[in-house]
Amino acid sequence: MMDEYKNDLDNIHVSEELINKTLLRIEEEKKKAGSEEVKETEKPVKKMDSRKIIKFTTFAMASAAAVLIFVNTNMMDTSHLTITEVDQVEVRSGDIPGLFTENNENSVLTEAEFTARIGINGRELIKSAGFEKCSIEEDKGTFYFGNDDMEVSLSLSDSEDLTPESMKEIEKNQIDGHEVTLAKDDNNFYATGEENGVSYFLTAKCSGSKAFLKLLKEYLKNF
Amino acid sequence: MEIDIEKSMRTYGDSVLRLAIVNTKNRAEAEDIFQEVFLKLFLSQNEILNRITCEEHLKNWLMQVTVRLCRDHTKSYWNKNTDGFGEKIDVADERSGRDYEAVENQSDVTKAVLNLPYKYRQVIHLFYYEEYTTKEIAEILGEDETATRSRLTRGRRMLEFFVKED
Repeated sequence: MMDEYKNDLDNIHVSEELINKTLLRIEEEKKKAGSEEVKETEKPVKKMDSRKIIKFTTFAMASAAAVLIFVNTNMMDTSHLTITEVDQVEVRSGDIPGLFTENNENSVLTEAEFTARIGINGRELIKSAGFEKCSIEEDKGTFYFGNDDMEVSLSLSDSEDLTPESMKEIEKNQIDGHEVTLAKDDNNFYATGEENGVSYFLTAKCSGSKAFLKLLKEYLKNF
Repeated sequence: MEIDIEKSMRTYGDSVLRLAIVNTKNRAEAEDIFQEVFLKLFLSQNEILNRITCEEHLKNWLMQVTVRLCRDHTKSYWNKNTDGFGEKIDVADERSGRDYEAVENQSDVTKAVLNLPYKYRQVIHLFYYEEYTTKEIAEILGEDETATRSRLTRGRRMLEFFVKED
């Protein structure tokens, strides 16, 4: 089966034009590097100072941001778990229940195809809240659940890291042998991680951290 | 001692370009990445010279850089084509167009490979076309071997699914 693929790819070759273009860019880079070297020897002291300033400023800004943005709070009786409070977790369309959750007309795959592809049935991962609907867009499937006490959305992707930028630097928790990043803003709780090559992003609007962690443990058990 | 950039381009250029095409699914973008890869080789040669003890190391380094640049490219492509809230702006249409311009007169299998999500087509390409072992692929991708193996298995399964569908 892969012979056809190999034959197709064997037809791709680098053109002389591309090689020449690249060599030209390298020549330009050589010239640029040469002129920068001259400048550096002319003003060595000033260069050192500005480097130090940049280094110090970066460090100071990073420290300030860390203090301002992240307020770690141990919120559970299972006190080893940390849910990091962040200013706001940036979410994509559909990641939070009620926010752009219309069925996506541009879906490339059906729910069944998506399930076959990633090998996981998203509907089955959460049982304590009733399944409401599912939306597949590109390489991501989002499943919505709800009951009187909580609204939950679960996004899964086998080709894209679904971790929001603001959660990437947060320290991970170990929950029943799974590495999970936890965060909250206002009444929303978030969990993200990767299991068996599938990235997930779980959001829940619920009464508190206890309810959220109970939901999360159930989800991880069913994965 | 210096690395002969032109010789490297002639020896490994095809592999770099093919990997970039499989990743970006667009020849023009792949050619940009090709240039970036060899420019990086020129700029980093002093740092990497002691690490590159044989030709295979050089090829692996080039493949590693190609993967990294393609990853950055994919991210910026997503950013360029989405608004602040992640709402897509005709990305689906552009992507479907990209599938067919990448490789001329492609077979159904090639179409299916290009149709795979980014992570999987990368592994499938490195394994079946470049004939790397899963250990070598894991090194190129900067991940552990188990993850690479499971991605390869999943990629194969998805490939079968897409080929059957056609």
